[in-house]
Amino acid sequence: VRIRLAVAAAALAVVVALAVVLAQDSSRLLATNFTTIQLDAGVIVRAGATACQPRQVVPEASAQVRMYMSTAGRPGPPMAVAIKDGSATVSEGSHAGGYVDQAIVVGLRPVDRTLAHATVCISNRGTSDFAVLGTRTTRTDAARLTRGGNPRHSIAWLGWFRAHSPSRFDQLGAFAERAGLVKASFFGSWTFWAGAILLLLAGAAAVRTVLREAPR
Amino acid sequence: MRARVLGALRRPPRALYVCMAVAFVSAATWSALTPSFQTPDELVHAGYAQYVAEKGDVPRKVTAGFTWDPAEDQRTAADGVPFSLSGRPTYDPAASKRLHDRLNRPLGRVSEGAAGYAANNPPLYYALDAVAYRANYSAPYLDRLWTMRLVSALLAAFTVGFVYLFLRELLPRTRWAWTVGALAVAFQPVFGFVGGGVNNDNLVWTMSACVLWLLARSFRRGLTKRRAAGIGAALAAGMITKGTTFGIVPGVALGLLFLVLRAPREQRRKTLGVAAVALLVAGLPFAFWLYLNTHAYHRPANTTTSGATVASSYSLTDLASYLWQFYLPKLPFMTDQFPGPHSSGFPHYPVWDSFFQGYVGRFGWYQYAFPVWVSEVALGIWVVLLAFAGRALFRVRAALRGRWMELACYVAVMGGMLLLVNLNGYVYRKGTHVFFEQTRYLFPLLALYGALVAIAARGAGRYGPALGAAIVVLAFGHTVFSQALTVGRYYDYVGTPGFVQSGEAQRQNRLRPVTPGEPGRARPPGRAGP
Repeated sequence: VRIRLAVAAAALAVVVALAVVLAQDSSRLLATNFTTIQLDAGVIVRAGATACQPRQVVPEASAQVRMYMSTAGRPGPPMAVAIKDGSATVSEGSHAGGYVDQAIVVGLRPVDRTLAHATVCISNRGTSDFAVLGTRTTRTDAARLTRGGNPRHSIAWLGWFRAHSPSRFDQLGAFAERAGLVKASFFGSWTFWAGAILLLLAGAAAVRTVLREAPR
Repeated sequence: MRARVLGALRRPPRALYVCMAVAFVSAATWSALTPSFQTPDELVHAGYAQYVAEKGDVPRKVTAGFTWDPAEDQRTAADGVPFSLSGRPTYDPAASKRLHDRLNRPLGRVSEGAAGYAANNPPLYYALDAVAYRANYSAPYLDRLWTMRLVSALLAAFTVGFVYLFLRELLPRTRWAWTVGALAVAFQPVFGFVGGGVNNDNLVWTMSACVLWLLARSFRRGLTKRRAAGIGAALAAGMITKGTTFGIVPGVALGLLFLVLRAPREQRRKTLGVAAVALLVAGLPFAFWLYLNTHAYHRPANTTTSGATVASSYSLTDLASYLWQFYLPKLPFMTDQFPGPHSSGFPHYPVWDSFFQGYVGRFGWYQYAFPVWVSEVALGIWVVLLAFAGRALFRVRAALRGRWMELACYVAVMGGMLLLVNLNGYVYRKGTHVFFEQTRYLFPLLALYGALVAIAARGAGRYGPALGAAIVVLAFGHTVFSQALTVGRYYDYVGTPGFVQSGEAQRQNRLRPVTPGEPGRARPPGRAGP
């Protein structure tokens, strides 16, 4: 009885923890404008200045934007982000400041349609400078600054996130499909499920063996 | 004869086979889950094995440093896998199909440079992989790769089998603990993860577990010629697999010496002869390999490190300081070897940052891991288990005094392994300025890990079997969560960009659908976002 109780308690702990993990949101990422940041690039936004990046794609349902801020070890100033489609501001949000050399997330009014040629403006509303990490690009695509210039023709890395995502549990089918790609030719989503079942059976066999081996 | 063989096969308990099957299944599920080439150094290990399979020859090191020059089919596959450090990410089934179509065409299969920086390894593991490769010869590359991965899974099963047999000799009267210790190893997630990839460490672990089993058996039942030959053969196989095996050699030699000394005086000379058999069986094949290595295959004699240039600026005191600080707090007169992550990218507390957190779970190319709080919880569990293990050992201290030679042998095996890994780490760091030590390098000691778990469970007294059962369930959960972590890493990408110091300007400012990307090795400055 004692050993069965121990197994039941441990199994319950595993199941509950797994349920918690699976109930969490899956990735809320919608898109990023590029994938690799060059640490020696980046858009330097002076105090009071604004940097605007043209020709940005902002996906539908974007409700947050993530940026990597460099502040030279000091607390960063308040800042704001505005998304413009032509001359109209489609969405905007702000951050109170206080970040130190870290990624920040700026909440936005959700964007209701994909913007294929948006301009994203980042404004420095404080009294100290910051840099938004990014990469070098062409003169045409580079961020335009109201003060200080952009000699390296940099643009900032922008990660677009939706407000909510399906739970990981809801996404298991998608994970299974993805896990079957670019592997042995006969792999498919079925391998994910087969693996899960086999692992479960292995766990059951292990527990059964431990119970059988236990002294009576 | 057949009846004798069948009788011998029947002798081990059924639990042994269950433990082996569990280990195989665990590693096989890892092999199916982990993207191709995302286990440590799989590109070069698979490249080596492919060359052996295609040419029946051992590759020389023909590429410089950490570069690698694969065969056409491996390059095509590697370029098509969207999970590389720099590859363009995609979940696109059409892209996957296009890759399979490309791989179905006739592509070159031979390149000596495919072994890259693994070329200096001895060939035994790759020869085993080559058998699997040839068995599936007509299949496309990714199918052949997976077949080779299954060889590792099979080796994982044998490792766990030897761990079980080791525990049977070590704790002969606690049958239930053999299963607990062996299953704790079978469900160790890093063991399963590497067991699901093409990596020669797998055979080293199998052979080391085999050596420890035969030593324990000899300590319990006496050193016979057969056991001595077995010890020698397993040691030789390990040494013809990877230089890491050298770490256990001093401990094994000490064990053999003790086995001679504890023999009755009148049999001591005979036992000495038997111990010499072990040394001969270990040494002759290895010496033969060294001869072939330099004379037949025209390769350098160096079979431990792979292409790392080693600076000559190290000193004994500096090495002693490095070893001390790896495990213990720095003393005032020492130069700080591990000043912290912000200064060098090196761990601040290596035992904790690298070995323990790596044991809890660091996967991919030693790249993604559980959050630190998981390791802190695991540390709490281990403190309790170590207390139980201490209690168990204290209770049998009289018996331990009678087995001190055996105990000293295991301590020497462990010490030798740690020393070798740290020595490599020190030299590697001097040469490349990169941190070397990873938890998997300690896995030749898996049998001792299994023993620690089994002894801890026994330390719980009458609650021992219950604690053992709980450990097995939690170990299973550990593997489940590690696989969930891997699913999150590769199939639920959260959008962390890679970071590089410089490079070509990228013009990628177009919509990128949600995809699995590839964070770079370097950490972004500061904390992450959502």
